[in-house]
Amino acid sequence: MTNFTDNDELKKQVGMYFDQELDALSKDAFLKKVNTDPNYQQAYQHEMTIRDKIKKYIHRPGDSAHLIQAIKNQIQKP
Amino acid sequence: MHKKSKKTQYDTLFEEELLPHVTALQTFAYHLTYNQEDADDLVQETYLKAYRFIEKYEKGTNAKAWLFKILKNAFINEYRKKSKQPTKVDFEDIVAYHDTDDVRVTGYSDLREEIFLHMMGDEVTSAINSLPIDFRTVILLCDIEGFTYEEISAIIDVPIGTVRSRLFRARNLLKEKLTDYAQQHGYTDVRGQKRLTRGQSSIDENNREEE
Repeated sequence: MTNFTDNDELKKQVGMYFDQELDALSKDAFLKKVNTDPNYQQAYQHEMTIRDKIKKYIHRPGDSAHLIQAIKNQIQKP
Repeated sequence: MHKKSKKTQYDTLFEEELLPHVTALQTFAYHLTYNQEDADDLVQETYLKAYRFIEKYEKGTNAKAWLFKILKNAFINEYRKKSKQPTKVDFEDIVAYHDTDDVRVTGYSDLREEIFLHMMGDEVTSAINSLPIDFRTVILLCDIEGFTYEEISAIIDVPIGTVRSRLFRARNLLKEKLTDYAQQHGYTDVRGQKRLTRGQSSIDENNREEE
């Protein structure tokens, strides 16, 4: 059974993994847990889904070709 | 001749390593300035500065972080100019808060996936844009652009502990705002209610037993 401390640790590990804050060894250990522990797997999937959705829904400017050309024109000026 | 080949080298470096980041810079600039025209001006200014100082850039190093730092500084300089004209400064920019060297790490574990079902598309942008500038910046750099804490620390010139602390508070604020948007569009978080219902029924059962 997962208690509060385990749950806090799980949340912390997931957050650190996605923030690239785990060192190589901790990252390996974390990914092993994701593959074997359903709680870790669920938390991992959830975090990934939310972060993907935030990235997907944020406004991104469309065409940058005109801007690239404007920049090139500026730097070519004598 | 030598001078010309140096210029060609710099031009190649500029084209191959710096220009590919233009879209990421446009997104960052857009969420700092709130409009496309100012964002494009800011990105253009960033690239012109980068080109001017390109001999300081080392081939194969972190071009993206270098460009983001130049853009952030260019934005701050512009902001400083505007701050001399009080009417152009947003209230959020003058609200003081205290940074701490917080060691807490938070993700989005307590945010429900269902809230996105009720979104029409621009709620995430509105929620991020409504955050105070320092919080908005760390969300954009970490969650949207994928920079590490160390890179963010170098880009915005604050200690890593401060990056962590701002991110913690920024995400909590963002989660609140996203949940508010979803609730305004009909989303109900039933987690607390379920707990309440379960608690309530056990009280009812106890009452029945006492009767």
